[in-house]
Amino acid sequence: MQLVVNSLSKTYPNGVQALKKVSLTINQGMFGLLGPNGAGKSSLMRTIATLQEADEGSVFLDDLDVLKNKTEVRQILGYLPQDFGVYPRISAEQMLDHIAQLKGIGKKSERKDLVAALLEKVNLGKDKKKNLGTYSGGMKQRFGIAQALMGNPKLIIVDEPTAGLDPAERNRFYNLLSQIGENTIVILSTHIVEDVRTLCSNFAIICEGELMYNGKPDPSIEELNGKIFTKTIKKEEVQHYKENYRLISTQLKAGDLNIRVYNETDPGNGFVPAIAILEDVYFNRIAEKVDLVTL
Amino acid sequence: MFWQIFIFEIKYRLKRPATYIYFLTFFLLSTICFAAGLIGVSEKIYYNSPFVDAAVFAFFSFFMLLVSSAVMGVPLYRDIDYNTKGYYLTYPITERGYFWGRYFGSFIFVILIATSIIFGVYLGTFLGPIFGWVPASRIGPNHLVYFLQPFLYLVIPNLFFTSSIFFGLVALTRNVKVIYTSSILLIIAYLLTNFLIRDIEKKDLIKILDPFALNTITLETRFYTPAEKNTLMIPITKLFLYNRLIWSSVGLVILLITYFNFSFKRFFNSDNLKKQIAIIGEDLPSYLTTLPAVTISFAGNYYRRIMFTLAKTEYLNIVRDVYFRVILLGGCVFLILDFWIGSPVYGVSNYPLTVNLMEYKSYDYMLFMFIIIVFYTGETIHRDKTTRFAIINDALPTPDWVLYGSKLLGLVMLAFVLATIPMILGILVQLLHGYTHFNMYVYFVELYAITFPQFIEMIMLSFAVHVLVNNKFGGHAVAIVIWVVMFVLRNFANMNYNLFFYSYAPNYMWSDMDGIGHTGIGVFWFNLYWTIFGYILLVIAAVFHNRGVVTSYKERLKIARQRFHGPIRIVAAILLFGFVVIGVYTYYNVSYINNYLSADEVELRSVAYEKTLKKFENIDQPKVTSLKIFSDIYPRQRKVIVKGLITLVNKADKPINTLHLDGTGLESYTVKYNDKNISADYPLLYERGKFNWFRSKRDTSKYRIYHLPIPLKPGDSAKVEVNSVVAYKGFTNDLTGTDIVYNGTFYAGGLPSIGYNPDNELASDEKRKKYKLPEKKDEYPPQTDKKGIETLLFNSNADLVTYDITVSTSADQMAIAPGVLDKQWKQNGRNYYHYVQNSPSVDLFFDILSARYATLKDNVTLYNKQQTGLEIYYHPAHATNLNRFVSAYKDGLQYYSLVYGPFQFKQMRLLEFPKYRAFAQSFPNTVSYAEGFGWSADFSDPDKFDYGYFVTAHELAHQWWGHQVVPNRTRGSNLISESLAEYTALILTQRKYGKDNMKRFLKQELDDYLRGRANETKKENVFINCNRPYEWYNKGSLILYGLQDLIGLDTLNKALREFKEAYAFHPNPPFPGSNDLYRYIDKHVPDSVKYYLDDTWKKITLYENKVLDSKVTPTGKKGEYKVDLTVSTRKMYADSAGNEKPAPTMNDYIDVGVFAADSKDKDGRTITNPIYLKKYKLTAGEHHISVIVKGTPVKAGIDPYVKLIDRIPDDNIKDL
Repeated sequence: MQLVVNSLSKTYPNGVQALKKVSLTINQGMFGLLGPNGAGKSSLMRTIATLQEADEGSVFLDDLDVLKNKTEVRQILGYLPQDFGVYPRISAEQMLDHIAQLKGIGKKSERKDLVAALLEKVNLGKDKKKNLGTYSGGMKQRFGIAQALMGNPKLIIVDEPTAGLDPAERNRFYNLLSQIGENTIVILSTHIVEDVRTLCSNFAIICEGELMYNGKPDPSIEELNGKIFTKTIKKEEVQHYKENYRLISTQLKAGDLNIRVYNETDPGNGFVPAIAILEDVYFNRIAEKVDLVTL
Repeated sequence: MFWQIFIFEIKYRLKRPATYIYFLTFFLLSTICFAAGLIGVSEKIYYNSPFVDAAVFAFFSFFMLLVSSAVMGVPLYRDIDYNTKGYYLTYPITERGYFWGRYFGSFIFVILIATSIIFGVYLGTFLGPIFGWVPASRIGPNHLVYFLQPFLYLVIPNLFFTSSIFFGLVALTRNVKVIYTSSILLIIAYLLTNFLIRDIEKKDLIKILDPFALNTITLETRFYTPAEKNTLMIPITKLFLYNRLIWSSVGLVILLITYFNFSFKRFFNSDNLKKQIAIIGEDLPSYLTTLPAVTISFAGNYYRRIMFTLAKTEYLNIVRDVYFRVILLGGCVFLILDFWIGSPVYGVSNYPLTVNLMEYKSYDYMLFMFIIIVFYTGETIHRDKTTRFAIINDALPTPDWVLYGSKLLGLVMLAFVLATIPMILGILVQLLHGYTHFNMYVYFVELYAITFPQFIEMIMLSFAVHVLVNNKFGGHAVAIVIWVVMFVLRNFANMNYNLFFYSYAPNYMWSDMDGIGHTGIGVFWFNLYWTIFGYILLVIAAVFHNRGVVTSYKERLKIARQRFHGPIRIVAAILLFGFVVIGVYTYYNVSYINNYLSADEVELRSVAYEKTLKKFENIDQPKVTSLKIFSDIYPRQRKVIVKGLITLVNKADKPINTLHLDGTGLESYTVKYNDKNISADYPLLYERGKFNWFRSKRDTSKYRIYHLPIPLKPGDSAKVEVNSVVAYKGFTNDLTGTDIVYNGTFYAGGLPSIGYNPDNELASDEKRKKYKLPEKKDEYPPQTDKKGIETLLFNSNADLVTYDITVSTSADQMAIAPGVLDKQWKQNGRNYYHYVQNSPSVDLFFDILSARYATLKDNVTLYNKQQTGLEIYYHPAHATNLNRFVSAYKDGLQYYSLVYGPFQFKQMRLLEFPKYRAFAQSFPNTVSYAEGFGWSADFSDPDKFDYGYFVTAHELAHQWWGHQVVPNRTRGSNLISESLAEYTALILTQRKYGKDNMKRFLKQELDDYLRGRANETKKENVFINCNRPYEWYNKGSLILYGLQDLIGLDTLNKALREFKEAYAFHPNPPFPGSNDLYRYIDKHVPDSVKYYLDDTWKKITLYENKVLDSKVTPTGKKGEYKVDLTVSTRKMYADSAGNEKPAPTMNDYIDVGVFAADSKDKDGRTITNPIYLKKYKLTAGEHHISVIVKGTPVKAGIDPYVKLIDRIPDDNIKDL
């Protein structure tokens, strides 16, 4: 199974161009989407999830035209949006049963077992009888995960699924996702760059609607090896460095500024080589679009 | 501390758009109300009179409880809602400052928003005349005090009361939702209470207990004349003042209780801050298991099943909603009350006939249902969006049609249930009344074939609007605006062309006699028309139905285009075709066949009639002297074919060259004059109706001027043959053609009338001015007018005539016309009847009826051994009250023939006709009552007004007053007919119930008179020139009753008999006028009472009688008491506009009475027990009266039976 996004463009009525001719090929396994806020990640995911029209371009899941045959896509889709609501006066169990029905699980007994298992998986077994309105943010998020995994989806799209989860829950979710994601396409967006490295076989970086990078995490880091240098400078000097180097990240530490730059060769001048991490790839890719000096 | 919080609150409020929206809303509402003159007061009252200002202020301030709930609900709740309580409380603020600062900071805005009414009214009174929406003469002076007084005494206390309630509720419950529920409940409860107190006698109690003082001001000004309403502000005294003080204090007490119970700790210490325990421990087994395998299939009818499941969920979501239940409960409570009480006639309810219940349903229930449907359609569409679950739901595999269909289906289920409720509650109410003739056919047709489709139409419009607007509040706003615009256009702009008003259909009516009759046909076609339109809306909505995140209208259009293909195109085409076909057919019926005219056009036509034809008003025309009619009634076809052979005589002193005939209302007519066709002019051409494009450009009026071949010389006669057709084809825009129906035809002869009829002219001063017609002060000429004296009031075409009527009808029906039934036969499967009325001659005033009647026959032998047959023709199911009619006939015939002279006919009939028209009318030897009048009234309470007896007595009296003595056509002459009949009925009632039990009847007449003159649109004449029903029925009967009380019943009867002898059965002029009756009465009135006759007939006289003080002391003898009374009296004279002046002198006879406790007679009727009753001659001012009575006195008073006209009869009696 393969998802092919071809030259997808989308402009909102307020003039913001959310997607600019994005082309991607996504295979089975986990696929990470990285990008700053407002980069177009959610737009892309919503478009693949049949919730939004594109101005141009196409999306194909094998031979299935995603933009046209929405119902067929939805039958194999699991989707967890970034921000969603629930019916406050209904229990998680009832709600999941309802969703299971909509996902085509006709047998009541099967639904019951599946709902119970899913709730256990997301650690809501004890709270399944409670009304969704009483759920905390994290519990609600886990409920969202459960509904997205319902009904053997072949295409799972999860938009910042770990927001609001504590570290243990986050781990638990990723494990769950990997377990399920072996034979499916899982598209995952996140702000936590390291997560992509540990989880995803492929990833893409989007910024201001443009695809900045698409590839595997480790080779991308490989590319930067020996090209990342670091130095501790005074705060006041940052403008100088910004003008003279390709500055990719800054970090304030005890009044001084730790900067990382990208350079083909050792720039000298007090810079020391550093081991490249995925974050460097990320910042390096988006540096041309975004001012990364975060002072 | 108070100030900082107060100022903060004000700044906060100033930034809220809601503040301005509320202000603007009420500003616009009041501007529009006044600028467009949307206030229902009589023509002589200024739109901005102090009375109207006060009433409008009170009304708006009541509805502003919605504003006060919205504004006062938030100030405390805000800190809970926005979760600011977490840090806000850490600031050094005091509870007192917080509470009062928030309260006053918000309350001041409630008041500021309320000032919008002042500005709105002020602006409205300026805009109205400028744009010509209201005549400048309807705008009086705008004194600042007219605004400030009601603002201070009505608006501020009302808002303070509601603000305190809502502020208190939030403070105590810590829940903001409770105020929305409670504001709706408060409105419902208040409207409900208003509804319930309609019949309560203790008006004083209502004046005090109405928290918004709406009833207080209505009751205080109930009998204000137009002149008084224009100049007097409602005095802030007594009960009105107490009312204001009481309810402001209640508000204050609520506020103080709230304050003393308020503490930060209690208010903010929420119990839902329970610690959430994070469960971190890994649960290994579940972690490792794989998910159970499931079978996923969308095959077969899976989606359809899903749709029904979803529809059920949608339905349950609605019915489980608290607000839904509150509104539904309100609707049901009103429905039960309406069913229970119905529409009483003289305070007497009908039995709960199914046909009546279905009418009462629309009083209140339908409004609640409308609110539910419009509101919950929006809620249903936006539910997923509101909870933000849509983003998940929209990505689920449910196809669009399932999502869309399930919402619709859920609403349809709701509509079905709401349509069923009236049947369940109706049957319940019928059972509780012990009434078991459930008419299930009526229930089913009404509820499932008319109401249910109407609900569906409402749903379809709201549904489409919400889908297209795609925003909940925007959708509600657009939907409500659509309905309000339609309502305003129909009710205030005189537009009612149903083809342009979504979901509107002609009015219709259920009748026991006629079922839904022909009135259902139009309803069916219009409902079909609008239902198809609704489906078209649904198709549009389906195409634009929104799923996922849609960003621009361009994109929606693109999606819509994608969706609009294949089957949906075909469906749309078929619907559109159907809509056009049904629309064309409906148009053909309404406009082409039936010549629809708008209300304005009807008015314009009467202007054209007057302007073109007025010149013919005084030309001489021949009069009918005998009439032979052959009339064939075809009830199923709603057609009557009439052949009239008329003898005309020239009774004028000049030859007559032309014959003017007006056949308005007839389908067609032809005329032969002495067996020859004669030529005619058509002097009046109307403009074509503005919607009737396919009719001829000029609409020829049926007013024709026939040229006589040889002039008809004075005294000569001619034979005229008229062949005419009265027929109704197809259906009309509204309920019409109710005289010829399937069962219960009741039509007025079907012949053209002769000459110009001034009754067709516009009467309203305002409208006459608008159309530049000359002022018309009085309908009839003065009593000295020669032509008036020579013309009869009820028909100017004839003096007294003889009839010979042959009428046929279908085999299942019986036809009745006035006169003796000479012959009856069957021919060609039809029933034929031949009626003759040749002795005596009667006035030309008759109707012909045909229906499937049951018959009751009886007879009575009068004192002079004359046998009189009694015949009642009634609907078989309406036999309950026949005995009341019969006993009134028997008592009346005996008594009237004894005192006024013999009864002139061989039989007296009473007939029932369908309730499309509501009146009772007396024709020669026939009285007709509409179905809703008495036939099915529930007279089981003996204290209720037995109007079955009373009104029958009245109508029977017309056989003497009206048909023996026929009044002429001059000013005030109708009192000969109506005042004498009503007075005679009072006397017959007195013979039945006794002199001391007449107060109930007299007070009814008094109330009707006072209410009538308070709503006068032109001017009130003195009685001898009376020009209004409230004078000739109510005032007339009252003053004649008062007169017989002073001069003796026998003396007055003697005068009336002499008058009758002088004028009865005059075949030729002069006919009597009110001055003639006055002359006969005057002869018998002694000098000591002349003042009364003059006061009542030639002046408008009002008394102010009241008991000021009373004291009872036992005299020491057993059962004997001394009663000391202080009474005051005053006499006022009013002019025709209602301005009053004290009478210069007064020394009048007035009753003073003392009463023991009421008792019951053997029938359970309440009996008044006077232990002292005597006439005193009293001058204006206070009087002390002491009397010794035997028996225990419980009440005493001045003019206790209200024989005199007194604006406040309630204070005439005082409990001791």
